[in-house]
Amino acid sequence: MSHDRTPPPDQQPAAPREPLGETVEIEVKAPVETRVLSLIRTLVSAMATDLGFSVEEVERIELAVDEAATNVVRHAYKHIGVSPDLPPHERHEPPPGQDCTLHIRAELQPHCMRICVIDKGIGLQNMPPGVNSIDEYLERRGNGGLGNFIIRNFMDEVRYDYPGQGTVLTMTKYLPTPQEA
Amino acid sequence: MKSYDLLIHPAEDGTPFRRVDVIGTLDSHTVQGFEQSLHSLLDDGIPRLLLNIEQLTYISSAGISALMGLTHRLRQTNGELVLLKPTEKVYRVFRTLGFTNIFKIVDSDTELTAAFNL
Repeated sequence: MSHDRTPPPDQQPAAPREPLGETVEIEVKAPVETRVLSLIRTLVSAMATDLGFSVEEVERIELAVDEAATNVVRHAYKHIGVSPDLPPHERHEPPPGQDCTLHIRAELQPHCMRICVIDKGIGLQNMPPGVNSIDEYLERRGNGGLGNFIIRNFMDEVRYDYPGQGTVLTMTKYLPTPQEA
Repeated sequence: MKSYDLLIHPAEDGTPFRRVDVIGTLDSHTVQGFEQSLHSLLDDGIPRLLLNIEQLTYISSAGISALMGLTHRLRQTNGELVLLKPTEKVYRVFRTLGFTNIFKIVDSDTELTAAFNL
């Protein structure tokens, strides 16, 4: 089958608008629930499109951020009983005073988009490691690790920081230079 | 539009596969319901499953893993999962990650006989 057709007009990238000229920061705080993922995807896609990324690059950014946010929802607060992966009888309300949120910070710069996915949980360094290849994923019979593979391969730079409590995952995607575009 | 829906077509005499339309998104929010419905269907002993994904607008690793789970389960009994008419966006995810070589993907009903090895 052929899928290399020219996208229909409604899927073609919007004309790049006037360059920002400075960094614009947009922050979102959301509950750690899977139902917020579609809203986060919508926001991130809109920002990336507005910055001038191609349809394919917007889709990659959208998927990488979705995977990063999913990791927070599933793993960051699991130790205190907040995770959709837990059976119902092991789930709890967050203790008073516990910041139990998914925090997304997007920096829109003239030449790149930088997105931080932040939590105040146990730290994602203890999460099961991602796979290094699709072959490794198949060897695991499809049991996990693909999300982190997508994050590493769909973004230009990926960095994990552990500032004492929780995790700051910083993902950067660069706009093509005029020569590359 | 709802974020996710599943339309399970009734079994038809003479049709050697069950057809299911997947509508909306397959992500960490919707995948649990998808897996429960489809594995329940397979519990009835269905060997061949056709997922019409022309209205699937988004798929994440959670959705891909669910498709892998169905593929493994069906192939254990010499069955097959076939994906029909992926959207450009979903197909690009499969292609970029290399899953076009793993899943059986067809673009029209006329390709089903070959895809299911009938």
